[in-house]
Order: sequence, then C-alpha cells, then structure tokens
Amino acid sequence: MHSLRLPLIALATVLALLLWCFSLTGTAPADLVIGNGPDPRSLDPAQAQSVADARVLASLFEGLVIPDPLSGTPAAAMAQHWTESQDGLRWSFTLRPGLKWSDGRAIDAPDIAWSMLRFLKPATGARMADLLDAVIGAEDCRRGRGPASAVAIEAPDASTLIFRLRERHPCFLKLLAQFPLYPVPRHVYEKHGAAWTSAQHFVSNGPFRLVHWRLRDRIRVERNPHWRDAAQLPLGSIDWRCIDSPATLLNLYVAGALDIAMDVPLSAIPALLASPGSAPGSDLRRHPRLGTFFLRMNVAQPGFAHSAVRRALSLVVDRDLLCSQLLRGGEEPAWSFTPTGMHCGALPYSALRASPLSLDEARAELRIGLQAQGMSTLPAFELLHTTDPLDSSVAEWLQHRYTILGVTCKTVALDAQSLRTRMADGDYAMARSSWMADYDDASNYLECFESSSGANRTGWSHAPYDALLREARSLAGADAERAAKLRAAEALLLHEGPIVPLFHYCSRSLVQPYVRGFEPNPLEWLNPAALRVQR
Amino acid sequence: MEHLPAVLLFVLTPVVLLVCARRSCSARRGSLLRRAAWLPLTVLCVHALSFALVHAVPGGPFDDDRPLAAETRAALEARFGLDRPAFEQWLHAVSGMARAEFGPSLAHRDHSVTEVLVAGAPASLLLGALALAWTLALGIPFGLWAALRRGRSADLTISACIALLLALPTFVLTGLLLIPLVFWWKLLPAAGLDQPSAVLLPSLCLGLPFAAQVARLVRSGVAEALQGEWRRTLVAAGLPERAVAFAALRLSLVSVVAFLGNAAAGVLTGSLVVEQIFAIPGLGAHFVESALNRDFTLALGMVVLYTALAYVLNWAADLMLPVVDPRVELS
Amino acid sequence: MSALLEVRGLRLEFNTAGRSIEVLRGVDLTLERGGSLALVGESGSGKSVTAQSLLRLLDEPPARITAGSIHIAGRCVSEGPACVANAVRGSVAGMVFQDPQSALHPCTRIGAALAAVVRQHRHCTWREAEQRSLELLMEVGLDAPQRRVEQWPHQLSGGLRQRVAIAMALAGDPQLLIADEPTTALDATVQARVLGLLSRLRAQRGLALLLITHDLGVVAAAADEMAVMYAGRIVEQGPVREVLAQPLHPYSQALRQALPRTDALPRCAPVSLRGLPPLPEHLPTGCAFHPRCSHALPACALEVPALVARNAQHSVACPLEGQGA
Ligand SMILES: Nc1ncnc2c1ncn2[C@@H]1O[C@H](COP(=O)(O)OP(=O)(O)OP(=O)(O)O)[C@@H](O)[C@H]1O
Ligand SMILES: [Mg+2]
Repeated sequence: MHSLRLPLIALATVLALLLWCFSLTGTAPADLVIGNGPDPRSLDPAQAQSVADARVLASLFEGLVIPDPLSGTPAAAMAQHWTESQDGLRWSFTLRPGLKWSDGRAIDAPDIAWSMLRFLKPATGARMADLLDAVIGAEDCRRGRGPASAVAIEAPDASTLIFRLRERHPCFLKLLAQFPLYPVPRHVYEKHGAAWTSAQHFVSNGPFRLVHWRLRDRIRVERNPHWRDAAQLPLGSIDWRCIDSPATLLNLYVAGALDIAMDVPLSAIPALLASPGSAPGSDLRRHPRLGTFFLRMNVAQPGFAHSAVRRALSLVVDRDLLCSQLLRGGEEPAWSFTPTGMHCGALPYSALRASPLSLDEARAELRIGLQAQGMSTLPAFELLHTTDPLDSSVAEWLQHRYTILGVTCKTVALDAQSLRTRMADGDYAMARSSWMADYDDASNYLECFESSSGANRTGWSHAPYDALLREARSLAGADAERAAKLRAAEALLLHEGPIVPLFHYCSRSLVQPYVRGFEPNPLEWLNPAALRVQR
Repeated sequence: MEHLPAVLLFVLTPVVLLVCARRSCSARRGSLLRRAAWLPLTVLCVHALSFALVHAVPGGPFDDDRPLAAETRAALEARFGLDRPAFEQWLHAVSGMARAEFGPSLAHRDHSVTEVLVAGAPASLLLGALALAWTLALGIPFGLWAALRRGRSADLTISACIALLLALPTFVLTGLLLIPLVFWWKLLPAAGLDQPSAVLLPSLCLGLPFAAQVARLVRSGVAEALQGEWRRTLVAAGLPERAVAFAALRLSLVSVVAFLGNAAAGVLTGSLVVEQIFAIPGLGAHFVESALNRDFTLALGMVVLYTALAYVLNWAADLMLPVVDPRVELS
Repeated sequence: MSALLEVRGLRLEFNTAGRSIEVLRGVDLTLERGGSLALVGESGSGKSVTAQSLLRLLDEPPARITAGSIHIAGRCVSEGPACVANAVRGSVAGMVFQDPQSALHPCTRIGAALAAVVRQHRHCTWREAEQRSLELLMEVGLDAPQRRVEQWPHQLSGGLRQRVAIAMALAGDPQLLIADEPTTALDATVQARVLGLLSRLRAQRGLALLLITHDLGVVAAAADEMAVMYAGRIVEQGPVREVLAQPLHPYSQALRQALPRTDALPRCAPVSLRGLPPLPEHLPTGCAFHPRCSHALPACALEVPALVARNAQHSVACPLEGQGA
C-alpha cells in the first residue's frame, strides 16, 4: 500500500493539472474575430509599435481626430471642431461635451494635455516622441532640456485644448490622429504607474474596452458603454487574434474561425487569384500600401561613393520583372521612393518615376562611376537581408540580376535585429530596408534621407536635397508649391541618392462577405467602430 | 538585503544539502540530497552563461527601423535597468530569479517575464503532456509490433514510417495531417485552443517525431531483448508468445525512459513551429522570439525554466530507471 | 503404453545465408517414464540442438526439421508449426538450460516469474499461484522462500538461480525434465548439490530426466542410461554401467579412456582425440568418425553405419561393434 501512495499522488496531481489546462480551452467567440498579427508590444499608446498594434489600439482609444479611411483626411473624434489660426501656428480644439473614460469618469481638456505631456517626457520612452516636435517647447521637453510646463499645449478650460506651433506644419491634424497620441487616463496612471495597462486596471476612451488579453492568443474587447456613440456601435465584442504566422491566419480563415484575416501569405496569392469567383478567392482584398521595400547603400563603402555607381545598381534592376515573376502578390514596382497614392497635404502627390530601365545606360554609368574613383571593377560586396523567406528570395534574385553588370555580391541573411545594428553602425555595403508611412504625406518619406535624419543610415549627405526639404517645410500652407519642392527633392534622391526602391507593398486581407465597414486603405488602418456583421 | 533570497537559494541551500548528503547514512538519500543540491547550482551556471551570451549578441531590445532619440533610449534603458554595469545587472537578475522574478519582458512591455511564462505554461503543459501520451501510445505498440514481425512487411512499413517521421520537417508533417483532417474531412479545428478537440492535432504533430524515436528504440530494444536466453526459459515453461513479447518490452523500456528523460523537457516547453502553425498560446515560441527580439529577460526566464525542467525530468527518469530495470542501482 | 519420449530418425538443418547445414542426421532416442538418459558427446555434436528441438525451441527459420518424428507422451511435436509444442511445453516436459546467469528474465521478481508459469498451467488466482511458487521454491531447496520471491534474479547466486530455473521448469508439473548441461556453469560443490536435487526430484516426482552433459562423472552419478552423440547422430546407446565399462564404439572408447580411473570423477573430462570434430558443413562421407578412428575400415568411408542392437539395451552404430578395441 505504502508503495502505491506516491505514484497515486503524482497521478492525481498530473490529472488535476491537465484538467485545469483543459478548462482554459473553452472560449466563446466574439461578435467579430479578426486575425491581426503578433501580440502588441504594449497597449500603452506610447509604447505600441506596429500597424497591427495600432489596429488594436484604435478599438480601445480615440484621439482628438481619427483618420478617415476613405478620404484620408482626419475626422472629428474627441474634438467636436477645431480652428487653425491664419498663420497656422495656433490650433484650438473644442471637445465634445460629456466625454468619458471607460470607467465612467469624465474626460476634460487638462487630462488630454497631461497625456500629451506624458508622451513627451523622456521617462515615458515613447518611440515616436518626435511626433509633436512642431509644438513650441516639445522638442526640448522630450530631449530633457526643457520643462514640461514650457510646452505650448494648454487647456484654458475643461473643453478647450490649444496647441501653439513654432513653425507651420503641413499636416498637423494628421499627426494628431496618430495612435501614439491617444489619451492615457491620468487617474489610473497615477494610481498604478506602469501597471496601468494590465487588464484589471486598464481604462481607455475608445469604442471598446479591454476584457482580457491572453498572450499569443487573443485580445478580447467589448463595447464601451461610456463611449460617446456607444448606442450606435454595431458590434458587442471583438476578438483580436494574436497570430503571427500568415499561413495560420489563412488556415483559420478557410476553416471559418476568422471573419477577417489581416494578412495573407504571399505564396497563397496566386491560388487565391486563380479562383476569384469562389471563397476564399472572392474574399481577397488587396490595396496598395504606403510602404516601400528598398535597398540602402552605404556611401562610405569602397566603390559606392560615386552616385553613378549607385545609379547603375539601381538602373539594372527591372522592378516590373521582380513583381511579376518573383513576388506576384500585387506589389507595385517601385520606380520612385514615395509610393503612388501618397498625398502632399490635401493634394495628391504624384511621385516622380525614375528613368526606365536601360542596360546600356547602366553599364555606362557603372564605368563612369568606377573610373571617377580610379577603379576598374566594383569590389565584391555583401547584400544584407533578413532571414524572412521573401527577403531571401529577393536577395537571391538581385544577386543574379547584378551579374548582368558583372558585379558580384554575396547575400548574407541576418536576423532583423542584427541587420539593424549593422546598418546603424554603418557596417554594410547594401542592405534591404523598408519604410512604412506613419501618415499620408510625402514629406514623411523624403525626410528620411535628410543629412540630419536618424533614419538615413547611409552616410549620404546632399546639401541641395536638404535645402529643398527645408524650403518645402517653410511652404507648409501652400500644398502645390510644397509638392513641387518635394518632387524636385525626390528627383535628386533617385538620381544621386543611396537607395534602390524595389517595390511598394500591397496590403492583403481576407474579409468574409458578411462583414461590412471594412475599407481597404493605404495605411492598413481599420475603423473598428464602423465594422459590422450583416448575415 | 535584496540579495538575501539569492544567497539562501544558491549558496546556503546547496551547501546545507551537500553537508547533509555527506552525513547521511543511506546511500540513496545521500544521492537524492546531492542531486537536489546541484539543481540550483546548475541553474545558476546556465543562467550566468546565457546572460553573458545574450548580452554579447549585437543589437538591443530598443533597436528599431525608426531610430530612437538618444534621450528616449536612455530613459528606456534606465527603466529596464540596462544602463547599469553588466555585473550589477547580472546580480540583480540572479536575486530576482531567487524570488521567481525575472523582471519585465522587454518585448511584451505590459507583462513581466513571470506573467509571460505563467500565461504560456498551461497550453504548453497540456500540449506537451498529450504529446508525451501520443509518444508512448504510438511509439511503444508500433515499435513492439515491428520487433515481433522483424523483417516482414509490417516491420518494413513501420520502419519506413519511422524514418520518414524523423526526416520530415515539422511543418511538412503538420501540413500532411492538417489538410485531410481539417480541410477535407473537417474533423478538427484548424488552430487555436478554443475547443478541447483543438489540442489533438497539435499534440499529435508534436508527439509524432518523438513517437518515431520511441518506436525505433522499442523496436531495436525488443529485438535485442528477444536474443536473451531467458526467452527460451519462458517458452520452454509454456508461456505464450504474448507474455514473452511483454517481457521483452519490459527490457526495452530502459532506453525509452532514458530517452524521455532528455526529451520531455523539450516536449513540455513546446515547439515554435507547432505553436505557430496551430496558434497555440504556449511557451515554445518565446524561445526563438525572445532571442530575435533581444528580449533579454524573457530569454533568460525561458532558459532558466527549461534548465530546471530538464534537470528535474532527467532526475525523474533516473529515479524511474531502477523501477524499470532493477539491475540499475541508484548511484 | 509407449515410451515418454520417442525420437525416430530426427533430421534437422539450419538454413543460414542460403546454405543449409544438416546438424542432426537421424537421431534416435527413447526414454521411458521415470527413466533417466544422459546424452554425451563432444562440443558441437548436436546435443543442445537435439534437446531444443524436442520442445521446438529453435527459431524456425533458420532451423527446420526435415525428417523423423518426435513423440512426447504420445503427442507428436515434430509435425506442423513450432506452436504444436505448446501442448507439451511446461506441462509434459520442462527444460533447464546451461547458463543460470541469463536464463531468468532480469526484470521480473522470482515470485512473479514463477507465478506466471504456474498460472499458465492451472486455473488459479494470483494468490494461489504465489502460494504454489513458494512450495516450488521450497521443493527445489531454496531457503527462506518468502524472502526470495521478492528478490530479483541478479540478487541470487548461480546455484540458487539454477534452482529457480528448475522450479520454473517444474511449475507445470511435467513428467519429463530436459536439462542441458545444468551444472556446467556452476562450481564443484554447487554442482553436486544441484545433481543431488535432480536425483531427489526424480525420486519424489517420478520425473524422467534427459540430462545433457560433457561430463562422464555426472553421467555416472545421475543417469541410468546414456547415449553417445557424434556429429549429429547417436553412435551408441545403453545402460550407463555397461557403456562406461565396455564402450563399443571407438568414439565412446576414446571418451572413456580420457576419464581417469579414480573415484573422484573430474568435473570436465578432457577429451583427447586425434584430430578435431568435423564441422557439420564439411562432414566426411560414411561414418563421420572414420577420419579420426584408428580402426577404420575402407567400408567406413562409404556407408553410414546403422544403430544396431547388441543386446536388449545396448546398441551401437559401428560395424566393428567393439571388436577393434
Ligand atoms: N542457430 C544455429 N544456426 C546454425 N548452426 C547452429 C545453430 N545452433 C547450433 N548450430 C550448429 O549446430 C551444431 C550443434 O550445436 P549444439 O549447440 O547442439 O552443440 P552441443 O553438442 O550442444 O555442443 P556444446 O557441448 O558446446 O554445447 C554446431 O555445429 C553448431 O554450430
Ligand atoms: Mg550445448
């Protein structure tokens, strides 16, 4: 008997443990299940990172204004209306009456001002803290050089918020619609500190409120009864499924477990396109994204110093071939750095196209560039890319392509973080890169390659380019003139610059036919309050 | 004062246990105590090594496509304690570890590492336990069958399956099972853990390669055991083939237990591929992702968890060995 | 009533790697109920193969009975698949092997091993089977059987293990015990005790004994009859006394000469014969012994001599019938 007791206890423990584990498996589905992407880095707007994070946050929060997916221009949200002073330096927002946090507490203008200042404080560690640099005192504050009190964000009364800018900004309203600027509940933050994002404390101001977050599984949100328009909200709850593999999203979608899949594996696109008449092929929604996949070149590397060499390496790449043969997911060949469909303020910004492919030209440019540097051939260089399968195949394709010029490059696969480090250290010759627009304005793209920009990382510094961008900034009120400057800058970038734009991303999603209110748009933004199910 | 639990756990406990082991009169108890003493020391060593490794790789948790302003980076580093000297950070990590606290996760900023581990444990445990069940339920009978039909078609088929299962990458295997079971016949859910039946397929995919290993071990073990002279004694005494087969199986279990002692920790902490394909909210993915994200704290937490689990399971296997084979003495 | 064990013209070959090697070439053996027969012969002569083929213990393939018959207690075990021997294994004939080290399953307790065999042969509960195991252990002379049943084989000495093996062979209450060199691996004093046990069991149970050995001393001590085997055939059979006193076959004579004339018989008689025993795959024609035989006639190389009865009990397979000596 004695010898049996221990095994029995062990067995009972294991069974109890398994039962407990099993009890976690049952979850009733929400009204709408969206296959989103990896777990958000954080539900703190200042810490969140990716487009997928932003979608979840958009269901929990709203800013003063929100992007309108159709027009791209911001629409009223917390702010009922706003006025811009004649010189564009003073913005005054009037809040809707009766705004409340999801715990029922009223939201007033000082709350929002406090939240903006928290966003700026270095201790917050906000990733995009430079977003508000146009506001007087903001840059000093985020760099720890000035007090928060010097920042010109004021709340003269409970329903008015005033921003004063140090210079006119071309798209200040678009900035304010950005997710990092969603308001953070001061009363919760001051009580719980960094733990305010945990599910039991979490308070937000958007159409939905947080129910629970199971890591690597889902974030469940439910209708926020205190939201300004709660009665009109079509959905009672949403499950944001945290799934990082597009293949799994597709499996779940095909099996009927998802209403929306926010990503589709590239490899499945040809099959989906082949059957446009029946599901899931008929549910595929594609839309050009404001995102560019490009190569960076390090001008400090031997051979890359001369722009003709860089131009040759760009000219020889046939983007049409790349997109039609290799990618086949609807990506658009990138003949410019800014994606098509980009705006300049309120006007469409029609990007300049790089000169079309000519092999002879490319060879000639290479020869000229090398001669100018006293070289006969371009030394073999490394092409850094990530271990992502798409990246690797693009890199191999390029490697093959460059043999046309007689240029040898070696592809080197690195994990994303190592690649970033090598780029930041300038320890590379050519590396894959991408840029996703934060907001729809061409300047958001072109400013990357200003000499002073931290996103530059190529060592390329071109005074005329910097001057053109500076001039464009000063023309903040006049979109047409600004667009002309930006186009001139982009022409310089494409001709002299350190980049080879390859393709513009394409967003791919699967949406069940009964889901309404899903508007594909260049920022992959989703308005959760507009989504509804109509079976 | 902050380091008191760490000193207790990593210095005092092993010393006390080792002294007790030396003093103890029974060899069995002595070895148990010694084993227990080495657990914290092993964990500490692995932790120190991993700490050094993790901090040696290029890149940090705050690197991003969008370069971070120096002030913001400094603030973040201060917040997560990464601005202190490495040795101090390590001491801090060790004393946290003694209280089962690994600090905040750097990639899951709303969660502490302990929370992340606790959140992932049930799914991984459930999946792993079922995978182990599959491993035994499939590996042993098929291995036995192959051994008893050695050289005949059943054996050849099973051996071919074993070779295939061991060679196939997990994602191919899952695809082969997923397509018919989920998409053609619609028997099981595609992914997630929303229904109890959802664990069947992922646990099978996780367990099958291990089942193949076990089947191989059992097959060769039984075949070898059947060469033993005891077999003639049993047959001559009139025992049926079934009894002989079970007696042979009994002998082959030694290698199975030894194998599982090593493999079980891996099964229980899950696999990246299976968890990704089936959207299982388990621990397996953190192993790879924490490394890719440079989530130092989570990576260390995973390493410590895995080390402790592997140690304990190996220990359990060693304790099991004399039960399975009485000739093995506890050393 | 027929004899307990009757083997007639048994031929057996091994098919390995496409070649077939005939190892038994017409073995004749008879053992009456309660009798005891010793089978002696040089290493490789086929004694063990004979013994194992009686219970069909050899793997088939490679082994195959090509001719002849085996009857145990009137049942034919040589025809059909190996499992026909199930009817006699343990219940009519038990078997004990040479090496007690490996003869017991290493991971089964003594008691459980015995009880399993007991339950195989009689319908009873585990408890009754355990009780019976204790009796069996007592019968084979183990002290403190209560303690022994809890022990593992590796915790017992060689002699005790051999006793347990004997108990297992007896658990089905057989009438015949086949013992293949049961004492070779034991040291002298233990050997004598195990032999004593076998004699006692014969007397108490009326057990017939087929004893295989190299050791003529053992033969004299434990058997009434003996058969001499050479290269897969019985060359001489008769009462032990008679064969030892007056061996008729030249091979038996050589064996006998190798035995010193002392009362304390040596454990292993060194057999000093001219030449080496033939390999079964290169058997000489005619009498397999003729190349080593000092009396060989030209006819010996041509014809295999039949086993001819010299008198009622004693037969020999040699045309000289002892004349040459
Ligand atoms: N499984 C087998 N396959 C092939 N040949 C075998 C096999 N078993 C035995 N033999 C051969 O049969 C012959 C007789 O072997 P056996 O074991 O009966 O000899 P033995 O008389 O018992 O000798 P020993 O005194 O050494 O035990 C030997 O030549 C041996 O090589
Ligand atoms: Mg033998």
